Amino acid sequence: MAKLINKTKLVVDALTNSPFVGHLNCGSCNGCDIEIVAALTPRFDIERFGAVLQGTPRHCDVLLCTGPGTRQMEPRIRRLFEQMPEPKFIVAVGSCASTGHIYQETYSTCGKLDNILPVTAYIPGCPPRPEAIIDGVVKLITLARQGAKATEEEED
Amino acid sequence: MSFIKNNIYPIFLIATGIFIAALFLAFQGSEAILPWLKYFLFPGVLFVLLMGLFYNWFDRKMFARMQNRIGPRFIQPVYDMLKLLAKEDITPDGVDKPEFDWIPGIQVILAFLVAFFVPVYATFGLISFEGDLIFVMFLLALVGGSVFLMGWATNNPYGLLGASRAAVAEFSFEIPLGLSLAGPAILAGSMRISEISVSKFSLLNLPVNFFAGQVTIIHLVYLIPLIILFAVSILAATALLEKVPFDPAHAEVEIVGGWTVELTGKKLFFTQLANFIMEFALAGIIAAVFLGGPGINDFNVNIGNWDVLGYLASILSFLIKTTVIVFLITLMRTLHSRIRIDQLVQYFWKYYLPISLIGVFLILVFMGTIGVV
Repeated sequence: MAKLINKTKLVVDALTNSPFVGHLNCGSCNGCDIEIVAALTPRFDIERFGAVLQGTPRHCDVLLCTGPGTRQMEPRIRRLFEQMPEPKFIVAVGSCASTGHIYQETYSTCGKLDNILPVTAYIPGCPPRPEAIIDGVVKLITLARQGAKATEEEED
Repeated sequence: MSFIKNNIYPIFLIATGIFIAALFLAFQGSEAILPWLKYFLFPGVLFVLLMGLFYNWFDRKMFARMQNRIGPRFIQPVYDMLKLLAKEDITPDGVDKPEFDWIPGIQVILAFLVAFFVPVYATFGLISFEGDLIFVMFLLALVGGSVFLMGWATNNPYGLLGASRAAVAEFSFEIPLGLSLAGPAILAGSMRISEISVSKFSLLNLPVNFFAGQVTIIHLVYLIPLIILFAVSILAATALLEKVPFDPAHAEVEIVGGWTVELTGKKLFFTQLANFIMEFALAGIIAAVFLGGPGINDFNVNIGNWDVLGYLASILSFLIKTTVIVFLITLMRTLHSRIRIDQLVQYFWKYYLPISLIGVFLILVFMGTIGVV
């Protein structure tokens, strides 16, 4: 959580209270994507936490990535990650993105998302339920807040 | 303590209001300090900023409630804006440099300038002169031009597509908007927003004046064209603000944000802030032209022009009218899905333009036969 050090409490509050999420399919089977879309529907209402779905990585703070990351997709994933403005967080949604699952050590994938991107939070499940995805995003926010607080105390 | 922590924004808003009211009362006789306060605090920059954020929250909350969900917190727009200010500001390679840097700021200035024409507590706004309705229309056209230039400067296929769509939408809604604002102006016999708002023949003042006995029952026929023009002006305002039924210019799912696609950090903050302020300003101008703005004119005359209660009543009536208009825009956003750009052009040129022409024509015919008292 080193991204949020040297920021005042107000800025940390603002950054953790309005996570704009983006959605990226890194070669998944679409199961996790459907669950992400379900998490964005009125039934689960992630706008309570200030999260709004954005189309372009330039507007995003949190990128929800699904799938193990295929070799074909790898340069595009890196490019999309570089297009996001700091501070930025990657969430690996689903077992494939977290650990590789059945795609471990296959020739056409990167194994898991960790091998190409700095992932901050992992949401296991095949596919994870919308509740689990929301819980993951909330845990990421809590972690970011705690990390900022901890570094602040260390500096003091 | 936690109550204060959880409700910091409403408390801040109320405290600011009390502070401004106190300053306003303390300096109401002093001509030297009042003008300064006017432009920076009460109907000026601070008030417009807070109202823009408030109406953004209101819009999102109503949208959420109509979808049967809870929706964002009251403080959410403030967090969003602060977050955008704290984010990294990226300037991609290949953008057109001066335009890309300047246009978001220019949009905020234009939005503030439009908001300064809105009459908030008195019959006149901060800026008011003969023919200012035309000047406001000119400013709205400049906003459309700035959107096109912004999309062009991003040098991105999505940005260019969004920009061309925004320009086409601008050509479509501008004439119906102008005509719908011209109807009440013809009835009032003036192109000045303050004089239109005190006219006896606006949409809200007409029934009120009928019950007060100032106009006869035959004059109520003016309500028909006024309702038509009011509906057209709400539709055109929805298109100008790029709200959902008329937002092919920055459709998130098709062209990933349209002309805003390359904007990050401060620049995105400025364009979004300009949109929020423009929502407030447009609602205020439509409220002034159709619903009489802050006007409780008889009330003002009875209790005196400098009376605190009169001002509070005027501000309250203005806020209620503006909120109703923002709610109508939100209702449009909730009920309809996004339409294609060719459908937008078709609707505005084939239906709304003739309808608004008929409205203005009816007003002219009624003025010729019945006359204005």
